[in-house]
Amino acid sequence: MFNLYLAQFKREFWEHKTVMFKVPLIAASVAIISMLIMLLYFPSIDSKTIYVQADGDLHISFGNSNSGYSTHSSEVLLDSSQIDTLENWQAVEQDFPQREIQKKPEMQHLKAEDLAAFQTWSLGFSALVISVFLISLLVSSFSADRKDSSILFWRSLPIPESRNVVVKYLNAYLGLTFIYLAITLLASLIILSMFAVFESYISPATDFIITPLLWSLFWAFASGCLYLFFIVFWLSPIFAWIGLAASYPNRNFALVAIVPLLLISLVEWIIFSTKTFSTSIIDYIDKGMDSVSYLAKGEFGQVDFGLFAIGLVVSVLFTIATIYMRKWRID
Amino acid sequence: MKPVIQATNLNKFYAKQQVLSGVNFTAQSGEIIGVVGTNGAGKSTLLKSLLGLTRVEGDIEVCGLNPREAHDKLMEKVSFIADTATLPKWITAAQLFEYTAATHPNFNLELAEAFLAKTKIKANQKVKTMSKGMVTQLHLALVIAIDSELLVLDEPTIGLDVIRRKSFYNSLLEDYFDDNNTIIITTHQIEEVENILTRAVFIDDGKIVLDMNIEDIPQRFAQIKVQPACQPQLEALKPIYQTKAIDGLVYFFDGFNPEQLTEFGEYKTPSLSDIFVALLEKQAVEVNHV
Repeated sequence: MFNLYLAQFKREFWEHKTVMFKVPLIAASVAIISMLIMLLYFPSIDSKTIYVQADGDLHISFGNSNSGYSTHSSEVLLDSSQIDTLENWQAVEQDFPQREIQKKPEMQHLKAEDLAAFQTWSLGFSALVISVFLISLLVSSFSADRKDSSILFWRSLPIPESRNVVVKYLNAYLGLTFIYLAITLLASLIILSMFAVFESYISPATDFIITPLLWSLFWAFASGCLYLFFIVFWLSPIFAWIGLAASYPNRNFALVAIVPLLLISLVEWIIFSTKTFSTSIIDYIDKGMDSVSYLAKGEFGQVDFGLFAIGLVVSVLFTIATIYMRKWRID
Repeated sequence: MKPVIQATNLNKFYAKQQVLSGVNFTAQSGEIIGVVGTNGAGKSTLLKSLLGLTRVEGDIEVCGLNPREAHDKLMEKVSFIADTATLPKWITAAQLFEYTAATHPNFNLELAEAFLAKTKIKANQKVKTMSKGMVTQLHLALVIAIDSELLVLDEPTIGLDVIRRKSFYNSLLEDYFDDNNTIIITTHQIEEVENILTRAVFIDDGKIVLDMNIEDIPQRFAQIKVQPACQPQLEALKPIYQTKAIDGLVYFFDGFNPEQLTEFGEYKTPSLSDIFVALLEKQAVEVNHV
């Protein structure tokens, strides 16, 4: 039985390799290469020559500041007391002096609530990106085999349509999310490693090291990345509705997906003068995002698991409807 | 022996259009049945109903199973080629075999690979890069490697050149068919398959107009070519159809007395395509008279 499911997951991966693997891989590669070019092309400058003209003491202040952390250095390049007449002042080349790199042990770490806020933001952003990929995958999964008539071939094999549909959904929820996370974490590690190497060894002229800060942000995201699966399953009723809608028409599935929702909202507003249906959907999504924030902070009691269970039940109902829709549409 | 297929009183409507009307169909083990009909006659609908791919009124049992209720179980015993265009474009030959080997209990991977080795298809070649002939060969490799009781072919050679079509049927007989299999073929090109058929079923407008064994055809149908001068005498024998030839008239008879025909000349057994045309034209005339 495991081999059967494995074969079907492999089939889904082969069929949708572009959206599941190639697109995030290309995006990650672009990010890594862009960072590499940036690090190589814009290195910290060990020395700089500046030209200034002044008729008095010249003080130059170059500051580096980060939140709550700043350094100031000032150098007197020209001491007018040492110059007899300003008319004889001549431009003097002055290099920035080499400074001793102070390897401060760590930058000031972010507070726990700031890290949790970053975790929530990064997971929310990731959920948004994954949702776009996931919807694209589901639409392709449920409509492509009907468009090219290959559904007749798939139906000639001894595989229940129920298993087909379940595997398609699970492949989207779990497979796509896992691949996206793996590529994101790997790309982030590579970028951070490049940055750390560059900051520590290649360009030691900076006053402070921000690598530890970036690493703490990375770990904040990585430690909460499993919550992404929670978000995906929280949103599964919406994804399952889209899968069901994509199983029906040969084209313009977006109309089939959106029009019923709009019609229900419109009818409710006309007849009852309320917006319960539409606001329920929006509230459901908002509560999902809030739940992630609570999970990130460890406030498990705040998560509305009851609503989550209802969402899962709706998702299962849409999945069952998808099975019957696909059987009926082949008629 | 229990029939492989037993279908009784099949009726199917698409909206208000009736596409199958009171169809009774059986198939025994070891038969090669050709289902012949014009476009829209109901051939594909009949096959899909036998495979559980479409809902139909009536009783159907295929390999002892209800096709609609036990579709996936039935597909372990039945192989099906809709037409050459149904293989997914993105899949490679190797992936197709790997997937089928993992999901079909009766699939023989070595047999499929041995068949494919005789072709020019590479294992990592995608279907979308293959010609129609190559796709047919790939699909046939898949089907031949499945130890099935029933093989259903719905216009399997459509779009192929004559060499590929002949090669397809040769491979079917040499590599797949034995006395324990049953094959059902729907085709427009009946002249290509009539030499391999054991039974012919003609379907028109959702109804079966002829269902008989090939070996019984000479006893029932006759064709005779005569000079125009003999036309009145032959028409008195109530032929089912007549057509012109370069050097005379050709008459077709359904149920005939050989002694009555021999006085006009030599008669012979018509081809299946001629019988098909004759029967359909006869029906058209009868409908017009009504």
